[in-house]
Amino acid sequence: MGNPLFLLFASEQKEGIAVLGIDPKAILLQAGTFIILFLIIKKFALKGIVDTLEKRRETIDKGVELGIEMEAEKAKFDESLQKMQQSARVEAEKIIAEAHQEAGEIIKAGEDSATQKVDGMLKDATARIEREMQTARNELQAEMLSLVSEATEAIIEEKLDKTKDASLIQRALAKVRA
Amino acid sequence: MSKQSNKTVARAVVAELQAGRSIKRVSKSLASYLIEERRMNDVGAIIRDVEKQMLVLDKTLYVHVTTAHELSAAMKKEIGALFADKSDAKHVHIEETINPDVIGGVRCETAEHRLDLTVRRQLQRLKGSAA
Repeated sequence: MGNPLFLLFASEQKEGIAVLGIDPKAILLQAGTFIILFLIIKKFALKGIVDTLEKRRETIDKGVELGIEMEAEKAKFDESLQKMQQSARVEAEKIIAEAHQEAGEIIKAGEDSATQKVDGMLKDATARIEREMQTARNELQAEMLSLVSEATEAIIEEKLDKTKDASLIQRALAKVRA
Repeated sequence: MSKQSNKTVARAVVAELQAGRSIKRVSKSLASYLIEERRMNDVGAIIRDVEKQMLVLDKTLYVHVTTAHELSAAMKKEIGALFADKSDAKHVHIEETINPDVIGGVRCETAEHRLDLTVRRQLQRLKGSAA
């Protein structure tokens, strides 16, 4: 569907520049229509559009500034984070080193304690074995002496006659006298 | 009547003996007294007290000798001489007891001393040395 003004002049004869399909009147009409439309838009909508665009621009500018600030903040944050990480790493290494040292000391103390305990147990065991050996030696010696005594008694009773007994008594008395 | 001590009884016995009474009579009196007083268990201690007092008052020493075999007279004399040398006694009386359990050697006992040179004692000492 065409412009009504254009249809109004469509039936007229074309001459001059109109032969090329260009109609100055139509152009003028279109220009006038455009100007009217422009004025209407300017009066009612352009300001709002401009304001909107301005607001949008400001918003974009603010966003960009905010982005730049955020970028700077991020850089600062990254730097701070890096420092904190470094500090935390140093602190962690220190803690780990201390923990290693403490663990080493605890292990050493445990080993010392265990060594002392083992030494004590060995000492006790050695003493007990020594006592038991001594007891066994004493019992063996007593048993042996008892056997010797009984054997000696049997032999002497058999072999000690009156003469030998008198000689024995004389020797014993001589010892006493000496 | 309170019970007389062993020493008092021994002193009475010694006084009787020194008064010239026979040993047999004094022994009977002592036995009667101990039976009456039910003190027969004290007889050994009283005899030792008598011997102690006899040594002090009369310089007489009683030596009880125990052997496995009978002692010869020379041996008794030698024992008497040994005890006379070791004490103040002028007279030594040997009382001999034969006991085969001592195996050999001699055991001499006075009221205050004991000299055990028997084989039995030596063997006991040998056994005891391990303890």
